[in-house]
Amino acid sequence: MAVAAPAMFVTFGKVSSPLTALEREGAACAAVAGPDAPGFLGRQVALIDQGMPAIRLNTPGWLSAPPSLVAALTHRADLRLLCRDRLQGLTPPFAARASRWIERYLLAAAKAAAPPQDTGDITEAGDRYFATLLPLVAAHLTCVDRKDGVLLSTRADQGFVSLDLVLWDGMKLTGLLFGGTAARTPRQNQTLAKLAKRLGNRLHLQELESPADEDAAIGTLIAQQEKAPQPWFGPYRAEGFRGPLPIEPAERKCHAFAE
Amino acid sequence: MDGAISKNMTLLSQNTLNGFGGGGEGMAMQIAPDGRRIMWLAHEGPPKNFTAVDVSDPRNPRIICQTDLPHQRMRSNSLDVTGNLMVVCYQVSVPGDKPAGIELFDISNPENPRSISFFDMSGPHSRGVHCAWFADGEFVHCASGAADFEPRHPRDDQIYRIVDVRDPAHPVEAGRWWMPGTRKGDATPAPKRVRPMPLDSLRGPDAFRLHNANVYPERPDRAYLGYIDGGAFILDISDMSDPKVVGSWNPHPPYPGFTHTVMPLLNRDLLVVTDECVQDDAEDWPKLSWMVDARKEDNLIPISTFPLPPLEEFGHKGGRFGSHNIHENRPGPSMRSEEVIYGCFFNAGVRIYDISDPYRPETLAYYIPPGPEGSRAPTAQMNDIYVDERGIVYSVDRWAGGLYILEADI
Repeated sequence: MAVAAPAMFVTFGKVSSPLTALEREGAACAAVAGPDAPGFLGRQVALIDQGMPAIRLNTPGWLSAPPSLVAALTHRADLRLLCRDRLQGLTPPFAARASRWIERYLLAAAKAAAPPQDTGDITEAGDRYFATLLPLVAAHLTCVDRKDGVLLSTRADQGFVSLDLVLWDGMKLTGLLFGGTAARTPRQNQTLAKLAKRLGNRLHLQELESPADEDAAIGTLIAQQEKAPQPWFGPYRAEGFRGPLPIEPAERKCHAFAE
Repeated sequence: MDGAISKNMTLLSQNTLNGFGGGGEGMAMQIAPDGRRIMWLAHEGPPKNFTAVDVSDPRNPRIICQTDLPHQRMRSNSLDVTGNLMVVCYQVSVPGDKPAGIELFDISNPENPRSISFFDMSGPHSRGVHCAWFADGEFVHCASGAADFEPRHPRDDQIYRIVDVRDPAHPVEAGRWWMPGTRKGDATPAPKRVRPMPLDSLRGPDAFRLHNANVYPERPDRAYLGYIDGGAFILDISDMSDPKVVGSWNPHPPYPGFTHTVMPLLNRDLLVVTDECVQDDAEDWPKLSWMVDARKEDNLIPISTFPLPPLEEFGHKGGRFGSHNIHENRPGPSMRSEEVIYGCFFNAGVRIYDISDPYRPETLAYYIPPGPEGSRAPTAQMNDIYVDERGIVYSVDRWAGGLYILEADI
């Protein structure tokens, strides 16, 4: 019998206690998320559930910028810089390799998209840049079961698994790990293996040991830009466009996964 | 083990090395051509040169090779291994004595190490080599005197020397560096002594000389030096013939000296910097392990120290108490965690720390063996440590206990 896959809580960014972050924000996430809005993306916590669309640079929730700042950005290129700045701002001080990877990832994203143009249109070809999957840095992941469609708990009863970066493409979570198995203790490796078994094909773990591994991961992930539904949007959408666009369900069609 | 104190660690086995259980500061693992795991051990002092232990079954380690030094006025305190090539350091008690330098061995057949070459580093003011790092199979980075180096102070004799062993039969010097002011004739004034000591022994504290030099294949243009009372240095060695300082940090004084190891965590832009406790009964307390923010190499900032057990409990148990060697994340069959640090702390045993939050290191586990029989100290004096890629911990006692093999439940 197919069993509903557990939801995943991910804390990310400058979080020194994932449990505290989840205790503070987990219930709010769960309250916001529901059948009509599966999943939730905040500034420190994401709830990734079945049916949640891919988390991209233009997914609302993560980007912190007051309206006055946004209004002051007169060029499309500035929005890219704002995203880069905010993403680097999320990165903890001692996540140097992740920070360098993000820098290269965003450069590759810019290369893959058309150059930004100030056409004055609501969307433009260069907005493909913002369809790049959003890397959630210094992630701590925990699974939460549900009963009759309701999350059983918003606490990390089963502990957290640390991942250097995670990216959600609407179907699976890609977890990037620097340094290989020798960078982790036996128990850390066991916990990771257990998590991978539990999430099955919803989790794709990738060990990045060499610069070549890092480049390969960037290439694969940037290719996900193409799968984003058009029209592409920047990181800010008008009120009426905040929810999933009519075209998006096809991308985020999810299935129940067997355990 | 009766009398051991532990948390989250279990002793798998102990081997007293045929009664020569004084372990030095060289521990390296070889995966032999036939697949066996061989732990190569340096000795703290004579008469033994080095010992090889087959640790393929960590519950049943077996000595397969043990060699003698040519005389009693020397020690081979350090060694290192890459592939089937081993470098052994020779340090003499009196400057000018011999052999002082490094010897290279082919250890393809671990039962019968074959000497390939000897690189002489003796000289009128040289005691030879104290420590060596050999992680890329090409260059040996060592703390050594030199025939043409005359220190201003006799204890400042061991400088940073790089030896090119790409042709192992014909090693040649590739570069050298010393702390400015320590060589006779330097334009820079001599550094002020941190804790002046009488010159009845050249060993020990009150020294501006190199202890450890760490160079990692992922960052071949950087050398990380523990320069005893000179503190920590980061050198640009992209031109090995002309190393340049890019950053330094020194807590001594007011701290009591003896920076030992500078280990970079390259994925995190952090350094772990250890002092070495060199005096018994906490005479030189506190000897600390430091977390240092290295995001800007030219502005190194200490952000925390590793918690140690109470001075009242350990300071006067006998022997030394405080920081010393850590597992150095070298390439090979080796743990390479940047969040979990394994160290040995003399009478405070083997200790493991979680530094995932480097502002707040936490103790994860420890193992403190009872004082071994025949030791000159009443406590175990855990001197060096190595952790393989499976998380098996190997540590040696300085005087008599030999090799301890441990498992950590972390």
